[in-house]
Amino acid sequence: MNTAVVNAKVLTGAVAFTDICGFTEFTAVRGDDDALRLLSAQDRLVRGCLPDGARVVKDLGDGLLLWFPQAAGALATTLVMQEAFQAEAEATELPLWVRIGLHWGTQTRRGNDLIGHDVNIAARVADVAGPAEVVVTDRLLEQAGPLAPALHVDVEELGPVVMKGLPDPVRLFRVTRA
Amino acid sequence: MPPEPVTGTGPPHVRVTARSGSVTVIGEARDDVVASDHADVVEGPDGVVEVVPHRGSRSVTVQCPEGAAVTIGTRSGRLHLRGPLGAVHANTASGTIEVDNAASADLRALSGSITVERCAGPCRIKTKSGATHVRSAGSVDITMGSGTVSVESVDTSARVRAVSGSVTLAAEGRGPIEVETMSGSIVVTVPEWCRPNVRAKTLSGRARVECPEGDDCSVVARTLSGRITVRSR
Repeated sequence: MNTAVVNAKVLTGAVAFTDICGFTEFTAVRGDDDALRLLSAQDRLVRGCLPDGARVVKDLGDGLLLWFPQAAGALATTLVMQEAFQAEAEATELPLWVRIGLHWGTQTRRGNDLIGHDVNIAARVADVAGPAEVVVTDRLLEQAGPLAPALHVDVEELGPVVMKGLPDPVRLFRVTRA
Repeated sequence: MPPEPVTGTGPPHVRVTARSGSVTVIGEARDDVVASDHADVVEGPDGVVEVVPHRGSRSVTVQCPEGAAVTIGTRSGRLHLRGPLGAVHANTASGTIEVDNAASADLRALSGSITVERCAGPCRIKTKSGATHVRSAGSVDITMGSGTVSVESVDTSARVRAVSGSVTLAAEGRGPIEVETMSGSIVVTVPEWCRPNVRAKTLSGRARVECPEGDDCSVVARTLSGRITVRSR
């Protein structure tokens, strides 16, 4: 079943990390005002794409931590986000180079924040993604499984990826619009 | 006892999961997949041939049929893919990646240089720090954090994004070229016959187009800080 399970302390859902590549260099060259424009563009576009039940968990400086109740919804939404970033970058010539990593698992509430091993995995997955990419774990794809064909996506295996701090390799996939 | 070879019909898909140490994959005229002694070779239920080096192995060599698809993940160490291979996917947290000859490639390193001699089709490269060098590719999509990018020949389209570092790219003029850097110079070379439609923009630096312009192919070059040169061979 592709639906989140929620109780008082522990959530089950999809976690996404977004990250603006080269934000530090951009700020150094263009200054704080343009850096704020870049951040606000990311924030506005992400919030404009979020489906019901999903939320921005926290602001990470040049990235965002997002939570989604459904795997297929998370996948579809992050692809739409990338299209929105691309359109914004073309219209404004701002280098809105955003990478997105996505993983399905359990998360533990800590106030409004979410923590846990599966949150850490999602953060590492974002490190593997390049600008304009959505990279997801095998767990996310399995969870989205029955609904994935309706999303009209291409899925390309990147391989078993050994990531910092994680004992076992994780199979990652690059997802694009078909 | 050496591992049993795995055989099948058509070029197989070989997946290598290593933690550290160098991995060499050789595509050659043979029908089976074999690995050096200190690795297990098993055909998985999905038809993929899995190669798993034993813990503590310093280097593993895998021999497979020409045209095999190869997927490799490792934490550190040199990855070397030799001989004609099919679709190649290789990633490492820290280490170099070298590809001699592949049908297509997706190569990712958090830290380490990447070299591609020949990639007939799409060549996607992502590295946070390290040099990237492509001698010949059908198309390229390269993302670089910090380091230099050098592409000697790209047949069709090229997209390069570099946060910090210079980009040198020679195109054959048969597809759109888009190169962006935050900080770093850009040099794009097109064939003598090609009259590119150039859009070049630099905030601090100089943009020079040293060839006749036209509509043969599109060249977009943007940098926040650095020089831009578009010229013909």
